Amino acid sequence: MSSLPRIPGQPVSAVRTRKRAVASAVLFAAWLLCSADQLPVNPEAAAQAKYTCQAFADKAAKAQAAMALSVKTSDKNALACTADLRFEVASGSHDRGAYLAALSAVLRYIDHVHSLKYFDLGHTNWPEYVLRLQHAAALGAKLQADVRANWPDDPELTILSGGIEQSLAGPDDPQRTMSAVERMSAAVNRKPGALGGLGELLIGKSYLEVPPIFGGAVDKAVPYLERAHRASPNDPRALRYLAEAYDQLGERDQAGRMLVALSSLPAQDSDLQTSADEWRMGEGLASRMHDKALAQKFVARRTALMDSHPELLVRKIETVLGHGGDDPMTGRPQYNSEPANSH
Amino acid sequence: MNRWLVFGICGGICHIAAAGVITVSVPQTIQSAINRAKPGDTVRVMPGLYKETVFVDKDRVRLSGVIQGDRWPVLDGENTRNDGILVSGHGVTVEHFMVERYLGNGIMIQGANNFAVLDNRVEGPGFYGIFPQYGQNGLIERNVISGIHGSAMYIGMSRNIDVVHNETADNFGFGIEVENSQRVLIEGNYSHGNMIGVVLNLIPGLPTKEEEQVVVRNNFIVANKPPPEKSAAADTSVIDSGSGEPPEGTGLLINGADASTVEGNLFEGNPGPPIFVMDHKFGQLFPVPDPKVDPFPDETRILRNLFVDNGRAPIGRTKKILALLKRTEAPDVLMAGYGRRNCILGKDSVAAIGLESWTECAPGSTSANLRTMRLEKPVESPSLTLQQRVRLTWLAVCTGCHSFTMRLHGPPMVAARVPYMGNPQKLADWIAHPTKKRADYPAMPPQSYLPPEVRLEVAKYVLEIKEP
Repeated sequence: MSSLPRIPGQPVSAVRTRKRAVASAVLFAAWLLCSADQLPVNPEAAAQAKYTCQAFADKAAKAQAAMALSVKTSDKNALACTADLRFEVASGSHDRGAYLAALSAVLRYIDHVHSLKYFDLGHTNWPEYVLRLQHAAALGAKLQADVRANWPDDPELTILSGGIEQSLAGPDDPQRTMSAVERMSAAVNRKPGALGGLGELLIGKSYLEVPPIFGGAVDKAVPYLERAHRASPNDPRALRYLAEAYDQLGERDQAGRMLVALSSLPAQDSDLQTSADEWRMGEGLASRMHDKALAQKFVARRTALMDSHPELLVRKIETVLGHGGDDPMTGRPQYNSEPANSH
Repeated sequence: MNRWLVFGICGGICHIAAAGVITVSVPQTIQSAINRAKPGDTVRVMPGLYKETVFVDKDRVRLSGVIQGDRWPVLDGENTRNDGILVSGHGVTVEHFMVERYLGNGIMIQGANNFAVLDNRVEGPGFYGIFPQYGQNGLIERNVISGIHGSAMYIGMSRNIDVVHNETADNFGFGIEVENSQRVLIEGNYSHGNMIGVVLNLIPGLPTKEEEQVVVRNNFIVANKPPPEKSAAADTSVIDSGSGEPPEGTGLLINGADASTVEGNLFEGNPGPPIFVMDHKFGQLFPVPDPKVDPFPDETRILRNLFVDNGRAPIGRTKKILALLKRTEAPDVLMAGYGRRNCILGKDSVAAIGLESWTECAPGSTSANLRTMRLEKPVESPSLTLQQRVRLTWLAVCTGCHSFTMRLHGPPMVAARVPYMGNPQKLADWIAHPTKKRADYPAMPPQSYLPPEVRLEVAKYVLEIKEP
């Protein structure tokens, strides 16, 4: 049994006030500062954040259950239980493979929750996501401590630990991100292409996202992303980050080539949710580059994929407080593979 | 008599008759006068207290308050109604009103063109003070807005707008915010005591994907920092450290907007940087993955501005950022992130961080030749279709309190609509005269100001929304 931390209750009126303030903070860009130790108190969100994982008697059964759950890449609770079960299997053992699986599951879960959080324009469900991230961060911290103690120079474990650090750092902690980049760089130097180029991918992504005043640089990102692409030619993320980087550098032809390759990938070469998400991003990038035909190809492929797999998340941005949703003047959705007249 | 002359006189009389004047005074309602008005009419509202929401969906109506001495027509939301004045007719003017204690919008222009909002005073605690959305060719002039919990002046997804000679003071959020809009002139305004003075904000996840050609000129952007009352509201935020907080205490924030011009402004006494430019990757004010939006602020021009006594006491996010750079004071211009083809005049004479890729603007660069962003003639404006009105009503009115799947001020729509499935008329009737149904939610404010046909179509729309 596993659950997220409980949070003290608060009167409903206070919650309502908060919801209103939250909405205004988000949609009117009138944010109100809140430090990490002043996390929201919201009994509703806490209740929503709860999930229950089936209990298992032994590690073998836990590992087997985690394996089965891990394929449900659109299900936050399945991924949460995967992370919890993998953690329980690994924790306290000297099984390197178990730690690899646990760190991978935690990283996957953090990325999934971040995606949910970011698509929630109104921040209506952020308290739940914050709780989930806190919980995942706690699991990650324990695993990382064990890795440092037992396998300090292991490239794969270092890359996964760095990935968790990077993912949790956020925009205001570039030092933490760059510190993770440093450790991952050492790891990929020891073992280039480890984990299918995941280290190179994460390093390249960091260089793309961190501002120059804190050490980011697009030209530093490109070689790492190219290596990641060579290690896993069919990883849609490497292709998309490369397209973004080339576009930013003004190399439109190269960016276009990456997008064409992304649009041609077999969906099943990645997990289906990742394919659907990256094709959505591809549609956007192609639209920004005024390549309508390519954008349409992304739309067609994504629509077909979504139609045949209704369990995949649409990633449609909810309409809240006068924002988001379909264009009210035309009725058209923002992304053509989104269903019209939905929230 | 020449029949053409007769026709001409008649035409003139008819025109005068069409442009009638309806005078309203307490205890009449303004809405009843609007309902009687024809396109082109003026509705004069005498001083007094009006407790209602006013919905203007007719074209070319002039809604004009009469001020007698210090007595104004006051629209009072009593801290229960959502919106003060909603306008969806083209060519409408709203002037000389005191609008106070509404929870949503003071004055909102929804999908209407050729509008003017003049000489009004708007008091909080609403989300927005004055909020044109999806509008073209508008003028917002000489209004005073304070105590708003979101943005005092919010230009949303609009184009060809002049925002001139307004005062925005002591608002919890931003003084003036321009969101995903094009060709906007912000000139001669006095923005002080707000969380941030002026914000040019390209927000991902919205139907309009660009913000460009906003000129911020000859404004007084002074001492912007959260009002003291903010501390009471601070504990209601759910923003965690994984999201970008707005850099409060900033004079002007440019977040991903393109082709912005900043010229001739006085920035004084802002505790953070007078000008802060950021891209989305760093800013993350709205981290929605939306690649149709270019996240980088490109082609910014910072021309001659006056910086006096700013950056001495950075707060919030800016303080954290500067600490990482081992600084305690903010420069006049701070750039965090990437951008292309940006320039500044007198680069060497402006205290700046992060402008390495910026060039020196061409000597003589100025926006002085620009007189207005409005169009020479009113933009052609076909009346909104019923479907457009319905979608705009859903967007402007319903989603102010209801999310589809989540609890907001009201219950999730997916749950709230259940008793009405298959019976839109029942829902349309109920929203006109709602009663309190749920103990843990406030009573819904009545939407009886909406015409019956709009209410019915909105009800149908709400019942038909699909859950993806």
